[in-house]
Amino acid sequence: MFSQFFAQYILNQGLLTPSQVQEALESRRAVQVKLGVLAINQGFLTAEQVEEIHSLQQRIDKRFGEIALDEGYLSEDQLITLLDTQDNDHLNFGQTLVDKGYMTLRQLENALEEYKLEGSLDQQSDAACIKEQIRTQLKIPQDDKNVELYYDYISLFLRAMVRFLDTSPLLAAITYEHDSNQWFVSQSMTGDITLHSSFTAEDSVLLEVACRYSGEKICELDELAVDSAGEFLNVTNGLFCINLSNMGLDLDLHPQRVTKGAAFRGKSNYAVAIDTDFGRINLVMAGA
Amino acid sequence: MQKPLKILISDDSLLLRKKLREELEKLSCQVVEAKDGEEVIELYNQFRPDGVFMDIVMPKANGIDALKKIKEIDQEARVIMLSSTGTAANLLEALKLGAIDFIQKPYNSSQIVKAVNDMIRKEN
Repeated sequence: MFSQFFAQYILNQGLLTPSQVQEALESRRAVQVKLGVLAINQGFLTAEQVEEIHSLQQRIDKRFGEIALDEGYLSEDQLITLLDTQDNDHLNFGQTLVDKGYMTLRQLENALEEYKLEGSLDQQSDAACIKEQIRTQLKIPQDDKNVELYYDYISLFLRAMVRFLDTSPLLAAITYEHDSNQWFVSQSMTGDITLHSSFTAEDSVLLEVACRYSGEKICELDELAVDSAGEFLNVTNGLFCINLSNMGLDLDLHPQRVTKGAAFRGKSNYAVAIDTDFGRINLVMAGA
Repeated sequence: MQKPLKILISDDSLLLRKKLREELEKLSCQVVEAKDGEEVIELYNQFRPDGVFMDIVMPKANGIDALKKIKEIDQEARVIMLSSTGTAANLLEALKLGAIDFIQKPYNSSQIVKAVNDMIRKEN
């Protein structure tokens, strides 16, 4: 999940376009992070020192680590640390940005530094980290008594997208306009509090949600596709109910509904647009 | 040769029924499907299965109400709840009513294999 936080940070800061971030997220799994990026992240080397080692590598038939040792830039202990952390996920993302030419090493160094200064990396749990990023983007009025629950819910929904849909969701915007051509997948949770949750998506996106969640080859929006999209929301909401139950709040889940063009009910609606590699999902929540 | 276990599965989700049927047929079980809380009671009466996998959130009657009815029909019924809402309250209520286990969705294959083995042990 680390690359997710760092990617969202880069997007929020306007350092790259959404499509560049999305493309780098999708490519990162195929990339092995190089020692230079790792060394910058650890603060062992500056971008200039890495560039110097790279230029030496063009003339000397030695590996990056060997040259760094020869030049006295790295100690043996530091090199071992770097080799141990070479599969770090968020750095794979950083490496992809450099490889694709979206950022120079210097720009990546600055972005990582700023990101760490904001306390977003390594110091918080995944859930707390996502929640903090949502809080900065989605300004729910503090007098809404369910404000923290909405943040928790969005955070859980994003993690469910990673877990069940194998995608890298990015919060894109907080505005949402009802579109009667979109599918509307909804479910209510009632009990100690009331939360109506739903997501909307166009045909192709709903079909992809269905395929990815079910693991089935579904070619059209048939009964199995519609049911699979509903099950994704149902399982996600089930996890949310368990989390609330552990906090002493009991909620009952109602059967989920999947319809086209339905409108949402509730006094206060909050919506977030979430971009994925297969299109946009609008998550809409409402209280009692 | 041991006769195949007859298993009734009850869930309003077509996907869940399809996946669970595939898992159970791999274990050589005979499978009957119900789509809601009323149909599962009817089918239990009709087929008297060796075991039941049942969701909690279902149309017409929920899984907890259906469990009560099935236990009224057959005290020895072996029912495993399979639900996305594995809250402590649901878990306790289901077990109090006589469910032999509670599996949280999304489940994995090994949980289903264990559940079927538990049903076989209870039968023996």
